[in-house]
Amino acid sequence: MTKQRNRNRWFVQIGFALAAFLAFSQIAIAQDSSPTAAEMEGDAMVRSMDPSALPDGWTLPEKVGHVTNYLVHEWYQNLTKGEQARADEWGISFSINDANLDLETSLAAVDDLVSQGVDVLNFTPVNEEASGPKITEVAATGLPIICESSPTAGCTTLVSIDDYAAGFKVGVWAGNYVNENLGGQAVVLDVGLPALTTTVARSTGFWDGLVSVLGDNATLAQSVDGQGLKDQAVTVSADALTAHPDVNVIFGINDDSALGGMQSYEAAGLDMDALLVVGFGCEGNACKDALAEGSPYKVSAAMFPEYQGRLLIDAGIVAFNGVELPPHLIAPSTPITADNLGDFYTLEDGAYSANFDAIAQISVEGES
Amino acid sequence: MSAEISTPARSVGASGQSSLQDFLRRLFGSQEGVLFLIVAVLWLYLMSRSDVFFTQRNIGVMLSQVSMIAITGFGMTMLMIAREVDLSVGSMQAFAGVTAMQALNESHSLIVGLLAALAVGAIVGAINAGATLGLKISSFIVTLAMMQIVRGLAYTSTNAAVQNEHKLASFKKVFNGAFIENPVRIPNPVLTMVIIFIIFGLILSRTTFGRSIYAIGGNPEAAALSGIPVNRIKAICFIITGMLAALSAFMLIARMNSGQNNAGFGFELQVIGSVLLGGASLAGGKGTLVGTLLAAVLLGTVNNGIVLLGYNSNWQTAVVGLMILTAVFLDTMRRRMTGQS
Amino acid sequence: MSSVFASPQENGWQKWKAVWARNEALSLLVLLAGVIALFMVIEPTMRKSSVYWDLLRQVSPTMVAAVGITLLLLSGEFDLTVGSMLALTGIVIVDTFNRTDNMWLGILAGLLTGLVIGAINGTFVTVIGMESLMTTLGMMFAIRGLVYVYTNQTPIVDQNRFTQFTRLWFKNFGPVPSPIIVALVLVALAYFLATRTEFGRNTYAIGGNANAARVSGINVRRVKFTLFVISGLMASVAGLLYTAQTDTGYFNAGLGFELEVLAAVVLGGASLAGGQGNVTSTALAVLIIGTIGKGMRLMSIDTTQQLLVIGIVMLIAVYYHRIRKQTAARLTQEAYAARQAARGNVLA
Repeated sequence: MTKQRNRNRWFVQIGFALAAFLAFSQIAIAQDSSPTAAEMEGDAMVRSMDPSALPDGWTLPEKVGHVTNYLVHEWYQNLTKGEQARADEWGISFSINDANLDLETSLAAVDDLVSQGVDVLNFTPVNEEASGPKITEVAATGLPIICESSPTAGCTTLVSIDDYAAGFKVGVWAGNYVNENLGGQAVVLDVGLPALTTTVARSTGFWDGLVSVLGDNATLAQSVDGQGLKDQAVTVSADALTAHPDVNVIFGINDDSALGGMQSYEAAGLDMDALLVVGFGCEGNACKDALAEGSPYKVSAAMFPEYQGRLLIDAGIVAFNGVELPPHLIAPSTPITADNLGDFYTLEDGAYSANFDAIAQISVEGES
Repeated sequence: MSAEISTPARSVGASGQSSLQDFLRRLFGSQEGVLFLIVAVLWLYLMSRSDVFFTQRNIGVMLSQVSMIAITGFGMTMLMIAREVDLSVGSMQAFAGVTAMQALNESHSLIVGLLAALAVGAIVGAINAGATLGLKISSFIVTLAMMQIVRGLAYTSTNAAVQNEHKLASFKKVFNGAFIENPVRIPNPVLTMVIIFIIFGLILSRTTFGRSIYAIGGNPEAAALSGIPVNRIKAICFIITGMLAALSAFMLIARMNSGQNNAGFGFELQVIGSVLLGGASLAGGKGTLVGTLLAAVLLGTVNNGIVLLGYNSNWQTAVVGLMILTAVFLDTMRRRMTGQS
Repeated sequence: MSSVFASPQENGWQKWKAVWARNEALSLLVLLAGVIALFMVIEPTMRKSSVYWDLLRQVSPTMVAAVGITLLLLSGEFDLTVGSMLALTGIVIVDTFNRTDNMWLGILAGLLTGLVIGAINGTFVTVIGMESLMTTLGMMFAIRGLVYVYTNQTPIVDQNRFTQFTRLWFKNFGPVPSPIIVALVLVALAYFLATRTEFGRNTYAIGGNANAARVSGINVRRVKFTLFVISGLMASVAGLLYTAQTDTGYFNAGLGFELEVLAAVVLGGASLAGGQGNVTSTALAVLIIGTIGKGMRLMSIDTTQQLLVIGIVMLIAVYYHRIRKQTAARLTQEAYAARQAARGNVLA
C-alpha cells in the first residue's frame, strides 16, 4: 500500500514538473514576467486572512457583489454560499446577480452592481474575450475586480484552479488505475466542452497526464461536445459508444458530463466493472455519492467551490486595501477519491461540509 | 393530404403498371413520401460508410433518442392540426422530470412517480388551454410565457439536480430496458413510441374526434357552425400534448438517472421543427403522425451519423437547419407542381 | 379619430377612457411610467438617473432589431433569424477587421451581411413561396451552425483593438449614450416609413388582407421582399452595436434573442397575424421589458424567479391589450350607434 502511494507520488511529481514547465513556458511567451515578490506577498496575505484579526490600518469594503454566469449550476450555488459565509464572518454585505449564460445580461449586471455602489466586484464571465472591453472600462474607475473561473482583461486578479494541472493530476491517477485494474490499455471517450478555454485545458491536461503514464497504450476513441449538460452528455455519449463499444475510460469536463457518459455506458449494456469514469469539479452530492458508493466513477478533480468562495472575498479585501496581487491566484485542486473524500468533506445528515484546513494544505506549487 | 394518406385502398386491385405509377406518385406527391426517400437515401449512405450504423445496438440507441422528440411530437402534431402550438414542452422536460424524481424518492413507487409527471403535464396543458381559449390570447404567446414560467418553476422547486435516491430496479427496467428481446431487441422507449404512435394514429384517422381536429384546423368557423365543440377539442389536444411531453420527461429522467432542472433547452424547437418538417403547418388543418415520425427519425439519423462518422459536431446545428430548409423547399415545389395551394 | 366618433354625452372619465383605449402608444407610456414608479418605491438605486442612461444603452440593440421585426410582422411575415444574425454579424465584422486592418470595411461587411441574409430570406419566401416561419427557423439553425463551424466555437478577438469602434457603444454625448441615438434615429425612420409613405400604407394593407391588397394593385412580393431586407439590415445594426460592446465575434451571441424580440413586439400590441402594431409601441415595449429586467436585477431577485415574473408579465400585458382593443371597439360601436340615433332623430 505504501509502496503504491510512493509510486503515485512519484508520478504526481513528474506531472507537476511537466505541468510547471508547460505553464511557465506559456507564461513566458504570453506575459514575459512571473509574479513579482510584492505580488507573491499579496498572494500569501489572501491565503492567511483571518476575520478576527484585520491588519492594522486596513478598512473593510462595505459592499461586495458577484456577477455569476450560471447560478442554476451547483458549482455557483456552492461557490456563492462560500462567499456569503465568508462575507458574514467579516460583516460585509454581499449580493449576487446572475447572467443565466447570457452575455448581454452579464455585462448589464456589471453596470447594475456599479450603480449600487459596490466596493469590490467579483466577476465570472460568460465569455472572457467578449467581456474584456466592459471590464476594462469599469476597472479604469479604480474598482477592484476579482475574476473567477476565466481570465478577463481588466481584472485585478483571477481566482481559479489551474485547469491544465488539475486535469494532468487526474490523468496521472487514471493512468495508474488503468495499469493496476484495467490491464494497462485505455480507450478514452472525452465528453468535452470546446466552447470554453478552461474546459479545453481540462481535457488536454487529462490526456497529457494519462499519456505520461500509459504512453502509446492510451488511445483517444472520440471527443464529443456534451455542452456541460447532463441531457446533452447522455445523448452524444450514447452515439459515440455505439461507434466505440471498446471504450473503458470516460472523462467528463464536469460532473454532469462524466455522469452522463457513465449513464449511456450503462444503458448500452456494457460491462460496468471494466470502466473507469473520471470527473471534474466534484461540487455536488452526485459526485460525492458516486465516489462513496464504489461505482465506476472513481476519481474527480476536486475544485472545492466553498473554499474558492472564501478566497474570492478575502482577495477582494486585500485588493481593496491597495495591496498588489498576482494576475492569477491559484485555488487548490486535487484528485478526490473514495479514500480521501473523508479528509476534505464531512457528511452530516445528508449534507457534505468542506474541511477548509485540509483544503488549504493542498499545495499549488508550480501551478499557474 | 390527410385524405390522400387515409385512403390507401384506392390503388389496390389496379394493374401492375398503374399501381407502380400510383406508388411513385404517392411517394413524390406527399411530404411523407419525400421524407421517406430522404431517410432511405441517408440510411443507405450511412450503411456504406460505417460498419456500426446498421447494427441492432446503434439503431436501438438512435431510435431511443428519437422516441422522446417523437412522442411529444405526436401530441404537438394534433395540436398544430387544430391550429394551436405549445412552446412550453422543453421546460416541461425539466419540471415534470424533477417533480417525478422527487415523487419517486418520496414514495418509492414507480406508478406514483409516473402519475406525478403526467399530472404536471395535464395541469400545464390545462393552463395553456385555459389561457388560450378562455382569455382568447394566441397560444404562441401563452405558451411562450408558460415556457418561462414552467422553467422558473423547475428552478424554484430544486436548487440542484434531483438524484435517484429510491434505487428502484423497475425504474430503469421499465423505461430503459427492453421487454422484447426476440427476434430483435426493441428498447422500451422505442416500444412506447410505437404504441403511442398506433393509438393516436388510429384516433386521428379513424374517429370522429380525429376528424374534428382536422375540420377545426381547416376552417374553425365552419367547424363551429357544423356543431363541433371547438374549444373542448382544442383543450383536449393541449392536455394530451402536455401529458405526452411529461411522458417524454419521465423517459428522460430514466435515461439520465436524475431529474435535471436544466434539461430540455431547445427541445421545443426540435419538436416543432419535426412536426413542421413532417408536413404540418402553423395555419392548421394538415399534418400526420407518420410525417412527424419520419421527420424525427431523419433529424435523429443526421445527429447519429455525424457522431458515427466522426465529423465535427459543430455541423449538427447547421445540418438541422439545412434539412428544415430542404424539406420546406421540396414541399413548396411539390405543391406548386401539383397545383395545391 | 376620437373627435369623429365622440358622442355628445361623454363625460370627463369616459373621455379619458376613450383616449386610453384608442391610443396604444399612450397606454404603453402609462404602463412604463407605472413600472418605473413601482421600482423607484421599492429599490433605492432605481432613483439614480445613471441607471436609466445605462438602461437606454443596454436596450438599444433589442430596440433596433424589434423595430425591424415589427415592420415585417405588419405584413404578416416572421423573421426568426435575428438571434443568429447577432452572432454572424459580429463574426463578419471582427474577422474583416483582422483580415483588412480597416474598421470601415468591417462595419460595411457587417451591414452587407444583414442585406444578404435578408435578401436570401426574402427570396425563399417571396420568390419560391416558402412559409416564412419555417424558412427562418431553418435559416436560424443554419446560420448558427455555420457560425459554429467557421469559428469552431472560439471567439474571434479584434486584434487591432479599434477603440473608435468600441466608442460606438461606450461613448456618451453629454449623458446620452451613443447606441440609443442610433436606435432612436432608426425608430424615427421606421415610423416615417410606416406612417408617412405609400410603402407603409401598402404594408399595413398587405397584413390586413393580402388578397385584397394584391387585387388593388399592390406588388405584394416586392413589398415583402423589401421588408425582409430591412429586417435583416436592422438585425445587423443590432449586431453592430452588440459587437461594439464586446469588440469580439462571439459565436453564442444572441441565443434566444429572437424570443426576447418577439416578446417585445407582442407586448407592443402587434398581432402575429399581421396588419396591427406600430414601431413606437414596440420601442416602448422594449423599454418596459428592459426596465422590469433591470429593476429585478437591482433587487438581486434570482434569475429563476425573474423567469416566472417575465412569463406572468407577458400574459398580463397581452390580456391588457385585448381588453383595451375590445374597449376601443365597443366605444367606436357605441359612438356610431349614438350618431346613427342622433341622425335618426334629426331625420324624424
